[in-house]
Amino acid sequence: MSTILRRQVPLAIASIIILIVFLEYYIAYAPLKTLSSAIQQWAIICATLAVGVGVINAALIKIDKIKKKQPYWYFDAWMLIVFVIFVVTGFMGKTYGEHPIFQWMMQYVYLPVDSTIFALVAFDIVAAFYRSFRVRTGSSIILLVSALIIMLWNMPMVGGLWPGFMPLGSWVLDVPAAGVGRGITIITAIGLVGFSIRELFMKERTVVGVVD
Amino acid sequence: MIHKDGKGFSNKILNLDPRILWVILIVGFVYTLLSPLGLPIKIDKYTLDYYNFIESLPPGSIAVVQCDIESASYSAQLPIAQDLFQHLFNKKIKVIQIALHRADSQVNFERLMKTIDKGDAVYGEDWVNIGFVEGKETAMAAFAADLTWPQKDAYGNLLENLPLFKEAKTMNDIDLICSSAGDYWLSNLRQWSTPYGQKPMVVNSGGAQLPDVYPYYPTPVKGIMNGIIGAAQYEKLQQRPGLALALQDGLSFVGAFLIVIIVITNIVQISTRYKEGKKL
Repeated sequence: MSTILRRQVPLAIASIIILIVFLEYYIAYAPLKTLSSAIQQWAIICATLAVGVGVINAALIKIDKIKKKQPYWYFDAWMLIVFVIFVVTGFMGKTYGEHPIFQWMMQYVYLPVDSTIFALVAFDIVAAFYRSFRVRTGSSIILLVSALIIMLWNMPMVGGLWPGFMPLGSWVLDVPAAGVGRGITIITAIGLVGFSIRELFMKERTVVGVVD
Repeated sequence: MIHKDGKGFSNKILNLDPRILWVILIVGFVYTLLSPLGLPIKIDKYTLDYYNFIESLPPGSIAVVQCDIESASYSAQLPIAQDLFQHLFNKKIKVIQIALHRADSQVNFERLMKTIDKGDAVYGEDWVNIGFVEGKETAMAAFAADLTWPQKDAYGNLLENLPLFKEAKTMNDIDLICSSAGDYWLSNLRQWSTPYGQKPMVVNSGGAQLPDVYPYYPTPVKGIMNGIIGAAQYEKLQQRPGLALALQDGLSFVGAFLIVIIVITNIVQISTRYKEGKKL
């Protein structure tokens, strides 16, 4: 495939789309709005199709691993079986997911398993707090003190037993945290504008895999 | 005193087996759940503003809610979402619910709604559940421009046939945006609030996302429910004690436990370094 097809055409398409969606935001012109809406519809269709492609791709990888009897292939086989059961039961009934078998599996299989895995994170957090939250330099004391203030502010009983402390926690969030947060937001927005302008003028070639 | 063989008190403190901490954490948390102390809690201004803003809306106002309840954190998100929906239904605010993040949120939303007292609210007129729609932020933008864009609700009804969508056609007709979808609150702000004249928002957030939300408070974010702690405060405001309030003593214990660990290990760490002649 020529460089023009691989790089210039995708860049040109991206540039035209940016221009249309950008202009539609500022100019109330019906045909432009229709075109912009159509582009957004295509994007949603592409995203939906990508989910399907992802599922097929994952299934093919698993089937290949099972065929080759790679280590722990039986977990892959189990994943495929569960996948098929969920898809089939999900499509049973008038609308997706309303069938009692699917509901039962969601409530008594998926939800407890997913919640358990998520809950285990709490133990990692405690271990991480214990191991890594230690002062090693003078400046890290600032971080430690700020963290302790916010932790105290977040403890339900502190607000009730020591209301005088709450303004300090609120100050940390309202002044330094919000100030830095706004700064980061503005910088990110400026960066995004720059990135979009580069894409509009087909200068941002990283999107087609070219790194200068 | 520190021994080179690692048996000194300082070394023991600095090299504790994390499993000991986990046992203390579990025992303490379960104990406070079974024998609640009933410690007082204070309502912070973010929760109060959240509550007051919804209170200030006249009955018949329309709210769009993005409520994506993950199965993993269902237990944590349930009280937060319950507080929001119960308040909206109590105030007779019309609700359009949509999920744009997690496909499993539709199933979890159905379970949530079984716990909500909807009063005399009629489906289609006073509330609609669109269900899960794929497309992330692009879908959000399309939905804002035309609220019937997803075409059907979660139960297969055509949206354009539902009475609620006769009065709510675009995001311009919406009075409140409620974001109960983790990180997606920022997408709600970008696609639903800012382009439509900074529509007022309330955000259910917590933990790591909080510092990202604060810069947008008080405009357009009118209030923030800070996770399960905010939910407990909300339950207190609504005078409707529930799961979140029951968990507060346990959360206080966990917080206090972590602070004690941090303070002790740091005191030992700093004193050890000074004894070894090292400075910070």
